[in-house]
Amino acid sequence: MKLLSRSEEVVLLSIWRLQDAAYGVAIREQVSRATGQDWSIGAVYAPLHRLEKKGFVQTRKGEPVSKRGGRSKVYYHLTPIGKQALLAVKHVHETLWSGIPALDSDFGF
Amino acid sequence: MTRQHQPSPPRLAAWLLGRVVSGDIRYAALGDFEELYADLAEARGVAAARRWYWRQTLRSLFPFLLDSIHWSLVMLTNYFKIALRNFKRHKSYAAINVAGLAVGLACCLLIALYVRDELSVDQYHENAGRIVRVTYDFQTPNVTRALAMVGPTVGPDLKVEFPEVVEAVRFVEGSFLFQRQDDPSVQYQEYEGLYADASALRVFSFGLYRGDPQTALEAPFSVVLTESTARRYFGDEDPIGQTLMRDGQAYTVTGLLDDVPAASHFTFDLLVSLSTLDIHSPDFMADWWALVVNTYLLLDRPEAAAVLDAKLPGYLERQLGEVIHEDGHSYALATEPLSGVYLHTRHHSSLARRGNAATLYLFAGIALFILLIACINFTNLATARATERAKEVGVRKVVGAQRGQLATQFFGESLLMAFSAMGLALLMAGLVLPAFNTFAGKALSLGVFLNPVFLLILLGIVAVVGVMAGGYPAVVLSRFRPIAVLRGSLRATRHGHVLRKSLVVFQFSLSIALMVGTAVVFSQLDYMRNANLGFDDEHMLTVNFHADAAVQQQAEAVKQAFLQRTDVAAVSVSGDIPGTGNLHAGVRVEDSEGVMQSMPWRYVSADFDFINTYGIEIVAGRAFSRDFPTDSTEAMIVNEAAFKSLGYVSAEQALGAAFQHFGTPGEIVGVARDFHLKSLQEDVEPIYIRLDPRRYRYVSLRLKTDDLAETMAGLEALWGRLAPHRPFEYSFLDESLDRQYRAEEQFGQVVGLFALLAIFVACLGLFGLASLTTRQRTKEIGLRKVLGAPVSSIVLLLTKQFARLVVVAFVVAAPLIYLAMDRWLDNFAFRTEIAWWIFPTAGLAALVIAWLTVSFQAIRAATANPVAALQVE
Repeated sequence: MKLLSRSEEVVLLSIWRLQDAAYGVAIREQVSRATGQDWSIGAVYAPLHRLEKKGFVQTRKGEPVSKRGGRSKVYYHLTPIGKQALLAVKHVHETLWSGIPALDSDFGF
Repeated sequence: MTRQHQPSPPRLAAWLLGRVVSGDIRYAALGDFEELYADLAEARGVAAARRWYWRQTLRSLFPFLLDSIHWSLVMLTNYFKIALRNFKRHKSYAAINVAGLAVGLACCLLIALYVRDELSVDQYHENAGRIVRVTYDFQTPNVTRALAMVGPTVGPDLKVEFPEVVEAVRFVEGSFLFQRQDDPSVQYQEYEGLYADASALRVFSFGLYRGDPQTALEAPFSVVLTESTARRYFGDEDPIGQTLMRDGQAYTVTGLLDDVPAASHFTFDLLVSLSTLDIHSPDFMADWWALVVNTYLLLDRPEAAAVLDAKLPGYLERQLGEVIHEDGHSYALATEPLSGVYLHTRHHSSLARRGNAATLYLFAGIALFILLIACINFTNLATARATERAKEVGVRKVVGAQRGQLATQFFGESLLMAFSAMGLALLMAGLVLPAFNTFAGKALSLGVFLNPVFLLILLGIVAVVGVMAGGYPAVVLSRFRPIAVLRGSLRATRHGHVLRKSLVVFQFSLSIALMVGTAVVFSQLDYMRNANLGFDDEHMLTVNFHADAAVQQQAEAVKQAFLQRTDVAAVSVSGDIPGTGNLHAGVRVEDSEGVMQSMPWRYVSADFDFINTYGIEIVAGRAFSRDFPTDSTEAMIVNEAAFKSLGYVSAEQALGAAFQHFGTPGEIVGVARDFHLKSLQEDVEPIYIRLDPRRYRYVSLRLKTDDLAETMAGLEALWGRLAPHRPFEYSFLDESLDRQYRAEEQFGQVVGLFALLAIFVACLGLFGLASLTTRQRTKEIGLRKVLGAPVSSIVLLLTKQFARLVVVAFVVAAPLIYLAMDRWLDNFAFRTEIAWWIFPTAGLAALVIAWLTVSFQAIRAATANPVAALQVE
């Protein structure tokens, strides 16, 4: 399976962290806070769209909300293969990071 | 649901967002925008919220756009994949569709090239819009002529008299035997040489790259060569200033031209200054009646043509005097624009090549029809397959496909096929082009399609064809209701049946019509070739010595030398032979009322033996005879058409009628049975024959030999002794007469080719359709077989319905094509009747072809094991 892209990984992790509260606004806040950058709505939805098409996330509609122009909140959930994909990236990260000289002590002796 | 009143986000930004956000995320993303906007408006006021909304929109624009492009590309590849998979699964269907379209398109490509080329003739002249050609129409009680040739004095007259005329250019055909002065062995007979005014190089854009356009053709005995002619004489030497000899006279090369472009209505290999003729033939140059000069005018502005045309009758009256007012006579001098000289003229010139606009449009029409048939097949097959694909559509709809998506899918398939067909068509056209060029007499190349504009048009056409052909199935198929489809209750609609049937009828009508057309064209050709021409054209050999003075002077000796040979039965030396013959309107003859009339007859200059050698029958009076010494100056023989145009009732009455010709008087001594000088497309013209050694140009030999090769070798050797300086330039009369029908022959070949293509495309369509119908009836066939039906009855059952359609097509096509071809034949003064058997033959051929096409499928279905058929599903 192809590895997730960085933006997909960040979005997918945020959804997992938010669990049942993962809808667009919350995801964007979570992503922005975690990365320290202000993500535009478009920037969040592009990876979201890909994740959905790949079957890593599923959607569920809540009750209609008047603030959303009468639209429902759309909640995102990880599917089993979505979780697998996250685990795969995690595994790659761990492999990459294990056994290398500590970065923060680079200037030591 | 309830909706509170809320401040709304900026309209423009919201609209912008609505345009770029698409697909599954649209709902969620737009909701987020609204929610955040509402929150902000509450917390920090509407103004701040609006600013945020704008900023956020702009920042999101790019990711959203990329997203939507990404997914539409994914969609496209998906459609493409499905389309390919579909093609693979139904190979023969896809092949038929693509091949059919490709043939139609290839046909159109070739014809488009051809039409473009025909329309471009003469367009390369910079002054094209201001050049006109002078025409001369005249009518006497029995003769009507439309000429694009006038006398030598007309051009200069018009330039002097009318301010609208900036330049006048005259071209006179000439015969030139040139040799290099410093090397007499370099000698060529020039067939395409013209005398031309000095103005020719200023008015026409002939591409003079050496020499002075103002003066190159000014002085007598100047010659301007085209590049390839110059190379023939001088190789790589510089031709400018070199000398060429002709009849002991030195001509100086004063200019070099590019070869005349193929897209010209007349062509030449060299130009000789017309002032040469002022010295050589001053009589000719002053003769208003020598109607052999092609005259072009350069006007000061394009609109001046109408002004000039209005003034020309006045000029004509001043020139012709009272003749113009004689009963039943009419004369008209006019101009026609250069742009119409090739395709749209009715005026004849011996110099000019003529296209045929009607034929051109006809070809274009037929090509479009074949393309139309190919498109129809496409639609036809796709709709016929609707029932088969209905399940696919149903399943897709159940799974959630939108109607638009399905339509896109079908359009995509259709476009993909159309573009593959285009590729194939280009390949086909490229392969066929050399052959096409040979028989159309063109030098077309597919290079034009590299021109971006042309390429764009081409792509446009293909897209239109794809959309047109895919349109019906796309709309109809995507409309199917999934429940009906999946339950299997969908039947091909009656409407679809009728449509499909009428399409088959249309295709076969066209095929039958083209077959009949081809047959009629060739039967007319056959008729013209075998018609009695009024003289014997078999075993006639003609030698053209181009009025060489040396040969003229020893004409009698030449004749005697040929007659010595046992394989030569008769010899004549004459100025004209069948297929040639100049018009000379300068003869005046006494009519039935005793009045001298000026008659526009065709002049044949001959010797004593002409009538006998050609086997022309004398119906009254006598042939020229050496027993009458006065014959050489005072005798004339006319044909039947000529004496009738004088108003005489019988040939005998015309005998003894007085005439005036070139200033000498005489009388008619004989009347000859009508014979054809020109093609049978034209009526037999009034002809007068006189003895005129000054005009001798051809030797005509009637051969009687069993060993033609030996005879030819002997004749050539003999000629070499008689006229060593003259090439032995011969042709067989029947062959050169046959060449007159080249245009008709080409026409027949092209129509025949079209007929083949139309039949091919129609058969492809029928084949595809038959295979689908047969498949749909698999179960029925199986049941019938189980119940004991023999193979033959099943084949009959399957082919019957198609046969009926072909019969209907025949009934539709026969009367229409009969009328069309009858009109075509009316173009010929001598025409064959359309033989009745052509029709049943063409109909039967279509039927057999259709039957073979269908029965291939039918027999396969009929001989299949019924168990397999009944096991379906």
